[in-house]
Amino acid sequence: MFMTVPASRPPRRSLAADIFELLGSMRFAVSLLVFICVASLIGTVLPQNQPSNNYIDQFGPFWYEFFDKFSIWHVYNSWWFLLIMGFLVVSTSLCLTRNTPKMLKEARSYRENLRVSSLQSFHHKAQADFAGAVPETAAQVRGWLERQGYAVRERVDGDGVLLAAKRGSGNRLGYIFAHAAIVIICIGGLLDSELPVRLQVWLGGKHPIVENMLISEVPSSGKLSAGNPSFRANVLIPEGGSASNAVVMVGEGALVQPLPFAMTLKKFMIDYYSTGMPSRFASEVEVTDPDTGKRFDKTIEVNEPLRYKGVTVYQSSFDDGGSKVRLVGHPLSGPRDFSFDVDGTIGRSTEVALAGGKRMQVDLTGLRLINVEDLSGGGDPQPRALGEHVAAVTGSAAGKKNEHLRNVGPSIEYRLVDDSGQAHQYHNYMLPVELDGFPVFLAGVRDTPGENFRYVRIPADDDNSVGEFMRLRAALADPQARREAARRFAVSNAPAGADTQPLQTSAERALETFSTGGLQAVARFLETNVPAGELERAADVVVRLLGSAMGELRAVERERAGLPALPQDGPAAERAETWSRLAVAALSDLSLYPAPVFLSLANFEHVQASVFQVSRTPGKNSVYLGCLLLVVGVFTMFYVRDRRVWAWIAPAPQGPGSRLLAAMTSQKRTLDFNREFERFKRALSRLSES
Amino acid sequence: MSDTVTSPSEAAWVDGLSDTGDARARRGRPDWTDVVFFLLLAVGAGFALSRYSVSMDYYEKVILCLAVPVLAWLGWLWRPLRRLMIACALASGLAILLYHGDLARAEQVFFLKYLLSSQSAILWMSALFVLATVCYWIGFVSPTAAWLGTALTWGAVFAGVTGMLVRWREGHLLGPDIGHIPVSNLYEVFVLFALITALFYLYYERRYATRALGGFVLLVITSAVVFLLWYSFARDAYQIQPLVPALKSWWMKIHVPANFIGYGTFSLAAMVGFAYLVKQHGRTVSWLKLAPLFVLGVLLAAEPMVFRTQGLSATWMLYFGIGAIIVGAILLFRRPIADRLPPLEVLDDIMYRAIAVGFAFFTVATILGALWAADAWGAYWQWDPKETWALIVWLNYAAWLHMRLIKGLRGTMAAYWALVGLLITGFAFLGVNMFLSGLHSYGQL
Repeated sequence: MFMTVPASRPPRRSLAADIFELLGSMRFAVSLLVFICVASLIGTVLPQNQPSNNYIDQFGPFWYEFFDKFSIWHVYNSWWFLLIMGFLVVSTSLCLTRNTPKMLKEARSYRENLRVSSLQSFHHKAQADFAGAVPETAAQVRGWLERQGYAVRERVDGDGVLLAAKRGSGNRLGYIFAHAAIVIICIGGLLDSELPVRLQVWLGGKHPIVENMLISEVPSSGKLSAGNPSFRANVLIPEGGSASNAVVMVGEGALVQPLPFAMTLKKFMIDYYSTGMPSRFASEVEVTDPDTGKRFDKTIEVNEPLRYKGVTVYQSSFDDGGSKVRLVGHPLSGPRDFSFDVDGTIGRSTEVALAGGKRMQVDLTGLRLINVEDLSGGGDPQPRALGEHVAAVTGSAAGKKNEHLRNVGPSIEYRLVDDSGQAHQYHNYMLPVELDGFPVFLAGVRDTPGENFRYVRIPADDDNSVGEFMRLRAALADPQARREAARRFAVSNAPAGADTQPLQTSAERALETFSTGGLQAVARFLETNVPAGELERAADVVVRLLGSAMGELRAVERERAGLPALPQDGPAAERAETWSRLAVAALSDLSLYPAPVFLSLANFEHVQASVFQVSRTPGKNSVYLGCLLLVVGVFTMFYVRDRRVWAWIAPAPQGPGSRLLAAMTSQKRTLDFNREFERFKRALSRLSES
Repeated sequence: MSDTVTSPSEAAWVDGLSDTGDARARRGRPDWTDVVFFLLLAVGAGFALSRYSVSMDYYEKVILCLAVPVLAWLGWLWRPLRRLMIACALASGLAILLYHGDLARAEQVFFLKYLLSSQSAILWMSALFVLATVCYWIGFVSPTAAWLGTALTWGAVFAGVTGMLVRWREGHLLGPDIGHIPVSNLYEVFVLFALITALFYLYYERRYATRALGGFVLLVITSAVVFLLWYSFARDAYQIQPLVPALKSWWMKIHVPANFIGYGTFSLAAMVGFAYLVKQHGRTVSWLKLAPLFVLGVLLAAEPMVFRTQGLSATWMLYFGIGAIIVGAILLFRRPIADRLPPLEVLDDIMYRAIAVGFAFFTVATILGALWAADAWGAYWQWDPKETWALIVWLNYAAWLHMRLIKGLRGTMAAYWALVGLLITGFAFLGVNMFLSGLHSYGQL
């Protein structure tokens, strides 16, 4: 801030005066700036406004309590941050009120009452002798100064004339504008902050609602008034739906904010680039004014908000608006495979009947129509020589990077709660995805939202479905089918004439172990039953045995399903073999799949919802005005150069003519100023010689 | 006449100074060449309006029309810009002609492949900047080399501006909805940063009649170039990507360049501050007094490494090592360097000027950002990390300017502060994108 240190201090002053002095001092202002820097820094390093559990996990309960006292989880809305900002406003206003009159006076004044003798004490001074008499010289110099853009005032003192000239006094206005701007911006910003709503909570008896309830049930203490001057709220509208209330989040709770109009979402649109990246989010809404009954259509999109009745509506995000989906389920346990339909709505729960009369709740959490995935396999780039590097980046800047991006089609997300009460999230793609050259259905699962999905890759059968895999799964769970497969395996693999029984038993054992816990169970079985030295060889044998036995099991399964036997050679046989290999891997992974059923998306009717941010920001104009003042102020301060010139013209000490003594000064003595003074001197000598 | 006001050392420099930064003694009124240049610009804008009006919305057309007087004004302010603009326009026009609307020709046509396609031009820019840095340092013993440094820097700027213009066109050739002004991601703004810093440097070089600062300022540009090359080689970052919806706005055309005038001049000021300290310590024997300068220099060299999240690659260890060696070498040869640097008053003046320009434009850029944010995100200020860091940078230089203008802070302290300012600016520019998530994370490493 632009305080100047007082030249002389009164001998005694009261405490209040001291505080007043401190608040308006430069030291205090610069400390405030530093303090705001540090506080802002904390806010950027520590993620803000997260659920308190996250912080407790990170810092432990003790430090959480401690830090919570300073509310560093939401620094920018904490009491102390607002206090510092308040101090900044007070300090700047004090400077302004103290210095503005002085500065304006200073800017207006020509200081023509300067004592002539004091000209000698200036650092930048010049002297020249003129042939003309005093008035003549004065007119000449004055003319020159005025051509240079100076405003000149003349004072006759005895037989001499003092010319007092100034230029660029607007520079002072720059200071005033810039500092007034800070105050105006801070006040405007405060009006638009969370403070007005928080004040209504503290003083206006409003209570944020923490539980779910219908808008019509919200008590008046949970509702803000329609005339609420300042708020920032969110509203979700499904396609075809309509809303006239928005929700303001306050801490962990929420308040309902009635809007002065109703919005009906006709359509929500996402456009895509050819790469699959979204290029545009837009909502077609119909706005209805309840006061006048006026209706109009408007497309709200990112960067193009709707402004109506003092409220601004922004496209902020989108969601599912209650799409209808049909899922097809397959059990993942028991010796029988069957399929069943599950109908539901995204955002709601539905029930699934399990074997044994149990029922299970399915929360349908999301439907995504377009999933753009990088299917490059994520291999590391190969090391290249520098020449190749350069060659690779020359030419046009067209992207080669997006070649592996594919839209793999719709997917469904749901949540199942298992017997132990633990919830898992599932993410299944509707269509098979080609991975490593074979189409597979991806069935994802994760335990917490923070994790990535782990995917089971279920190979697609000849009908492009999971049907055969599910039948194979059931067959594996069926002891009879396993025995039959083991028998066939023994018959075809035992040396001619040997007893098939031992081989059949091992195959059956291997299948059984595999059916209980996948390849891991087989590995565990081997570790406990085979000496360590032979483990590797044994594992090799068992894996091959298992592979062949599974092949037989698949044959059994196909016979039961009435399908033709698998071809023995040609590309079809190769494909069948790959399928079997992938199926074994997937069956093994299923042992870690925590759900009793697999649900795949069969059909859907997509309904989207648009999320809008709705705000009323009374301080906005004030902030913009402040910004304008700030820009004008800053540029004026730096680029309007103030100059003052005094020229004392008196009769020459000897002979005719006159002598001129001039001094020049500026607030900022930069090199520019020095050079301008040199020019001034040259001009004076030119004038004196003419 | 009267006593002299300039110190003897300063007086020697004053003669060579040029208030305009070019051959004119004073800017005076625009002459007929300015009128011709204005007309040329107007014709260019008219051509763009008639030919490409489909690709522009209303505001973009307004920006295009306003660009005509602004560029003409810039050309009047500093004459060499006119030559640069005409040369770049011709070169990029030739490139566009050679393209014939077909991107694949970048691989077939000789001129495109080796000179004018955006990537080739930007690589030329990188090479020329590095060469210019070397020349400027050799320039401490040979004036010819210093002259060559200036020439090469101009060449680099020409190549870079042409590359950016051609890149703009290439974006549109990729697909009608993909093209956009090339200031949208970290790669593009790094090129912009190098160009703006170099142009400001060239202006001050002419204005203050000294080539001794070139070596210092171009160190920052060279490190930007090293980053740029690493970013293209290791991350394929040079590829044009379509814009995310929030960035599809005409605001980008003014917000980003304004911001980079700030970043560029702050970096320039910091390097001049570094030169100031070297000059001041030219006769210092005690290494203890040099230690803070060395540490700061090394810290600046280390800054890009701090942002690496997964381990330290050999490239960056090498970069850091070379950076430390360069800082050490500068300090070792401080005496001859100091003798050839302009007087402290001149250095101080450049530092102040650069920070003043930077501060003014940074203010404008932050405000433009706020206005844009109000349209795109629904709040002009929401304490997003990038916004907050912009505020921190702004407050830092506001404090610097206060101390200088009110308390008359000069010399050592101001120079150190300007150097620390570069650390802060560097973090706001790079660190926020890499460390802190937020709405501004458009460039990830």
